[in-house]
Amino acid sequence: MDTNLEISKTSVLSGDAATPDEPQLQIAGYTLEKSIGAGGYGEVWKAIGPGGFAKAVKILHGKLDGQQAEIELKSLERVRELRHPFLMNIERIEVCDGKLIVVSELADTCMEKRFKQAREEGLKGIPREELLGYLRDAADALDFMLSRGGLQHLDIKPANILLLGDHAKVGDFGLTKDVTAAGVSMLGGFTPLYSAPEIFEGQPSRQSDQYSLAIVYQTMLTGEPPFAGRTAAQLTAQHLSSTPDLTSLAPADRPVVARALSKNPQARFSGCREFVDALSRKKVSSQSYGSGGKSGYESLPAVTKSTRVVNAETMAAAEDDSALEIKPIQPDNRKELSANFRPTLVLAVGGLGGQVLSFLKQELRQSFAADSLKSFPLVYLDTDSRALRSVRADGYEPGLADDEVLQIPLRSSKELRTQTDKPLKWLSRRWLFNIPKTGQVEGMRPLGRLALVDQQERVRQHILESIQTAIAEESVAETCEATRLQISAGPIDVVLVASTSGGTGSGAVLDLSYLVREVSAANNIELGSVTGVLLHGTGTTRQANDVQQACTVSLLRELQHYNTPGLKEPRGVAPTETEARPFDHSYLIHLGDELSDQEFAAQLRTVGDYLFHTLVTPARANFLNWRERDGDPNSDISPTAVRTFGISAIEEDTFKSSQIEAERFCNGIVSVWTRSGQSESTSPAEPTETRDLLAEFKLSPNELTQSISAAHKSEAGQQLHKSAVQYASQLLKQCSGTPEEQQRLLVRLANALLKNPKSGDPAGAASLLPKAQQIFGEFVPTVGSTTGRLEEQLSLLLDSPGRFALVEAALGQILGTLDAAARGNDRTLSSIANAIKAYCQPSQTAQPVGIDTYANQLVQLCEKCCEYAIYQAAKVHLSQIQEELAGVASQVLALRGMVARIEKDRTSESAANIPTNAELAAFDKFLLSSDAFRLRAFLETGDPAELWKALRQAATAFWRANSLTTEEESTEDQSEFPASAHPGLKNTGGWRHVVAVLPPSAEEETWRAKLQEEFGDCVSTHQSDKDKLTVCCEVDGIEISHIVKNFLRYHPHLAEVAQRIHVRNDISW
Amino acid sequence: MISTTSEKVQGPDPALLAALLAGEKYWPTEPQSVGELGLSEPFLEALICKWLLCNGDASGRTIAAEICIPFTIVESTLNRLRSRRYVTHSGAGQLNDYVYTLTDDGRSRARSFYQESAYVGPAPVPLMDYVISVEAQAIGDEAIRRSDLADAFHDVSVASDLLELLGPAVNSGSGMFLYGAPGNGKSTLANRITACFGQSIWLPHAVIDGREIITVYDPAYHRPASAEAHASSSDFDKRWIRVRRPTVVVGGELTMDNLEISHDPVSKISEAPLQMKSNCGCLLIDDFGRQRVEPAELLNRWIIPLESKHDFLTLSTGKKIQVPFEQLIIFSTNLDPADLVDEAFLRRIPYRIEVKDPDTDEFHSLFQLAAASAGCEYDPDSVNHLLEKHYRPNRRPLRRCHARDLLLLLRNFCTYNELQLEMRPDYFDRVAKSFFTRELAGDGESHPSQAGIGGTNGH
Repeated sequence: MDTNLEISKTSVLSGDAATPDEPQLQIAGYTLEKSIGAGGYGEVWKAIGPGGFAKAVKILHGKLDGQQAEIELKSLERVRELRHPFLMNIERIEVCDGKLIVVSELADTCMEKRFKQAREEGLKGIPREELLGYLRDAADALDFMLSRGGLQHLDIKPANILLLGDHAKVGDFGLTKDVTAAGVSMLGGFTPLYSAPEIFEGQPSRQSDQYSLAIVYQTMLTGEPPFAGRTAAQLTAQHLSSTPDLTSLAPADRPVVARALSKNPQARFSGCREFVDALSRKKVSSQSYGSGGKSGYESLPAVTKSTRVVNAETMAAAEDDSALEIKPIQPDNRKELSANFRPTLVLAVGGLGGQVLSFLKQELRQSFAADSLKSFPLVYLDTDSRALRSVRADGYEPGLADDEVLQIPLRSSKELRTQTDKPLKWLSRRWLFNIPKTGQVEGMRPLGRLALVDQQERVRQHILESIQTAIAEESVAETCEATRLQISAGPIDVVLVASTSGGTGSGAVLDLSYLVREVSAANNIELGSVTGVLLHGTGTTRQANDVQQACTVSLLRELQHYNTPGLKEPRGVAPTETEARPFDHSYLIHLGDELSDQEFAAQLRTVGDYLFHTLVTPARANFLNWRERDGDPNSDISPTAVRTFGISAIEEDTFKSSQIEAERFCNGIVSVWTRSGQSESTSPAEPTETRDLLAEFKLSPNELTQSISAAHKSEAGQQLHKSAVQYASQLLKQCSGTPEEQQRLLVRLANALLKNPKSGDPAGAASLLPKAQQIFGEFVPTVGSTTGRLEEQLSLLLDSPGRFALVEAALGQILGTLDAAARGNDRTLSSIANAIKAYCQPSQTAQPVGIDTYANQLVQLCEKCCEYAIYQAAKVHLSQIQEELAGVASQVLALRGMVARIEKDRTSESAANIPTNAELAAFDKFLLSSDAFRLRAFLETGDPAELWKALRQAATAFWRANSLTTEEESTEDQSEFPASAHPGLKNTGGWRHVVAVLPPSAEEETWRAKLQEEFGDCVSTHQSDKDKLTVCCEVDGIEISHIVKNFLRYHPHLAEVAQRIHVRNDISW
Repeated sequence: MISTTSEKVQGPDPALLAALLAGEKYWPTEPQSVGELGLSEPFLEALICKWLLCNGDASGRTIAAEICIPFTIVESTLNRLRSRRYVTHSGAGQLNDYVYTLTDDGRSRARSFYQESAYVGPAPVPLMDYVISVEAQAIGDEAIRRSDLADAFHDVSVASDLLELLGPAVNSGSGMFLYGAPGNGKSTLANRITACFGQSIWLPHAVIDGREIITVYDPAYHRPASAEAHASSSDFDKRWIRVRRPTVVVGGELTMDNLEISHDPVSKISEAPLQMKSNCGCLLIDDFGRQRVEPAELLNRWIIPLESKHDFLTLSTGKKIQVPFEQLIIFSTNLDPADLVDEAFLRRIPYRIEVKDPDTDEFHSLFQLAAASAGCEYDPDSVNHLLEKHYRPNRRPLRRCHARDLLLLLRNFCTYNELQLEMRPDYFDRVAKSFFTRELAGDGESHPSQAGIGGTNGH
């Protein structure tokens, strides 16, 4: 075998039929056959090596001192020692003419090509079983690299998984890194679509390849990558912070892939093989998902779908259980609800609780203008002095008073190991000896409890003092006066607020509740209900999220344990054997995930709102009523169920300001209407449309005359004439021929022809008038259509920018035209009448005219009569139209009067402003918008109040829809209102109740209907004097196990973590 | 008014929580400030000056790595030294770093620092941190169970009745006697027991109390744990080192001085005593009774610490410090304890476990195990031959170490003679010649109780 690879520049290229990209390198002993692939790094060729074996030869672009070649060479050094059946065997690494050449065994194909082939066959991707086989091989190889060499491949992608026979081999070690070496630097070269988030941060971990492998799995199986970004920047952002879109996978696969795609490498499987095994264990029905069955995939979805990041909710949708639906429950209206206000101690522990408390205090202060209410004491406990400081009142900012906060410092390991007299058997030494030097709990729940246990005397004392003050008679009286509420002295309620996802709150809250019970029992203080409000929310820190969720799961498990009847285990700080539940009513609120500080604050403010309403507003009656279901054996609520709530509010200002704005808007419209009617200067130019319309309906004098003469000259007109002549000739036969007789006959003829026919009068049969009307009717549009069309035009004009002015102008024009036409017509009519009269005058001569002349006279008279009849018909036509339009005109006038009256009323209330151009444009937009208000609808009815109401409604709606408000924020609020009242906790089942607290300006019925649309039939309402509209939605009967299941569905590893951070280890949770 | 609270941002060090959740008992978090280091500024300055004096110029990062202090802290200390003109920049380093060198002023300061204490190396941790770490990682925090012990001994041949005795003794946390003929694996036992309690612990390079530095980490006894097992996070205080749980074995050379802090008056550095080095592990006092110290005196030294779980040590200044005494202490002897000390002492150490010689069956199985690890075929006939020819005629006692040792000799013999490694009687004959130094008569060198075991090992 030729061991010396000699490279010579050859000129083979010139004579050969080679492809243009034939490399200019000839490697002795190897004949390059064909190019298999090329990329930014270089080319891969199929070559026939010594002994006729086919090999793959990779030739790197650029000189060896190039960065890529250097990286490659280093990586190859690393993998050189590794031998594994599923690692691509490297046979030779050579440097030829400054180029790096790597000879390795030749694979049949690579996974990328296999995928394309599968797609061409019409499959969705590589069939699952086949794919899993390949991945298993690759995972073996990768785990081997890690365990033997501490290496990560870091460039796992379909093109680098080579297929050979029925197996896969991992190849292309261009980026391989020793991850155990400190300070591995990542310099470019990786493939963004498949790279783990930590690679983007330059810190590859031992689980980085697993992440890539998971993406390879989904992409090769379904054709849809979990992150659909198209540019490197998009992908980077998505890898770092987006939730993967796993919807294309079978539900059974999702949790497995989701775990492998955890942003936190520690949360992934410990090895690639474990990941692939987890996938293999899941049986996936071949029909619906991924196995690549041809049926059903005739029309392939586009590979790159629109970027859609799916959150857990939609991911859960596929497995939705109808039992987990939240059902509305009808409010019980029969019962007289009593708010039964009581002194209440609100006890917050941990940072989130403290913020809630400060919001509650704000709310109380604003409502009652009192700095503190003695019967509603607030106490905030925390280990963290910074958190305490942040909600304390200082010189400028209002906040919690000094006696409302109590620090329960976490003492150091050093102090605790020697100086505590408390039994710490319950605390794993792991925690005791690792108390952070910062004195922070840092998410370690047992330390939260430790702080409480350590400082219990102070806490006891503080709670006792607060309670005693709260229930003292003078305090109650004072508070009654300040709040104007009927507060009954007697038992005191306690509300505990804590976050479940932190350390202090989550660790201490349950025991704090027992502590409160203990304090009240020891001092013979009657305790009302104890309510726990637990808050879960995760922040933006990626690593912390897992822990926060685990904390919540851990707390929920503990709560479930304590709430399960029949478990006699130690509870609380003092060793008591009570079976009491920590809370009579437990709430769990999901504030949201990956919240920024602002979002957190906004969410916490709503919790403060909620507490406010449960304490001191009439809505309390509803809350108390709902909570009754908790202890009620007849209700379908199990002891291990919790409640949750959501709250959505808009400031009355926003919704009132939109009302005010709408009102102003209406005023503006009205004033524009009236003003333009008054000032002629603003009246628009003569509306040509109307003129055209009049011409169309042949109402202008000219058109009318034309129509008349046309009618007259038409065949029917001639016929009319003939019939008149016939009638005349009949009369002529009776004529004796005397001049008197002739004269009388003429008069008789004229009368007969022009007489208004009366029904039943045979003489009327000769009348031309009805016939003339008929004939004329043929030549002009009917009265009905004409007036209809004109009226329509007018009402259109009424809602056009010209408004009243235009309408009146048009009306004037129409009426004027009609008038002119009528006058002209009348003139003609009278001249004809004169002519007829002239015929009928007794002749001066008194000589009988010749029969011919007489007959001629008759014919002429008939002619005139016909003409007269037609003109008469026109006159009738016109007068009918005029009459109709006069009605319209009076309606318009009435409407205008109405509007004027409204304006007068309104302007006396608020100063009418001259509308700006922008407003005018807005008015026009409003008036022209298709579904907005129509003034013409009120032409018929004459009630100004109706009109005003309708106008306001339409204007308000228009206002909202067109976001004319100046503040962006308020419109945003409105768009979410009231849907944002749905609790954050979803897919958990339960029953929904809703109560709305309305400001005085809101209409109860309207809002009730509106809310029922959103929430179903479960809405109660209350009027209050607050300037805020608050909708509170409460869901009860949520099984803790459902919540925990939801948490663990996509992060099964949390169960283990949650197990480790239980607050005490002397209870088997 | 509302600011970010610590509940949302999970504190500065996620590594701590991650480690604790992963089952670590103690985790030295990376210090963020001098305050968290527990060392004073002047101390750091002196340490850096001395380091530069001994090692010459270096970049800030190099210094930080060498004295095991985070670079950010070292950098600010260096800046202060520079403003006082003790050090200057002599060049630029990588990534916003400089090469520092001592000025003449600085050199003379450094010399006087050096005279005060010659300690140069990884910065010490406060004594209290060490105390807490020992208490956190102590043996006996969690009682071991039968299965733990069985796991630890899975690849050595141990009679099950021995395990039965060992378990409770280990859990008692007080000392124990292991007695029996030499070569029966008492040290192996001690090592395996230590391993039951988890593989590795955190140990500081040195601790400081006042101005006194006591070195703790001793490569002779402490073996760094492989990095691989703890690659989960590199965010820890580098002043600590991860070591295999120590098993400190001392033999006849033990003196009372070894059990006190040894102070070097020239360098002014102290070294931790043996029991401090073996904290969290196992202290095996081998050949108990062969020390120059009287056994009673030696035992006396342990009585109080064993009961109170802490020990008092005297610093060179005369100050007494209290350090934890958290270890399993094993006295191993081939004499009967009853002969060594009187009953009053024995009462304090209630567990006395005899490690007996193996019987023939076990001897066979020991050979089987040893053959497997030596890589040759196990041949029972050769073992029988050995027993017949070399043990029984001489009434030579069987020892657990013999199988391994004989096979080792056999391998050396085969290698030398270019023979294939095989268990053959004739090979054994050759090897035995050098292994068994003298023909024994009677029941050998062992103590009287050996005879009682009789039946199995002597004819």
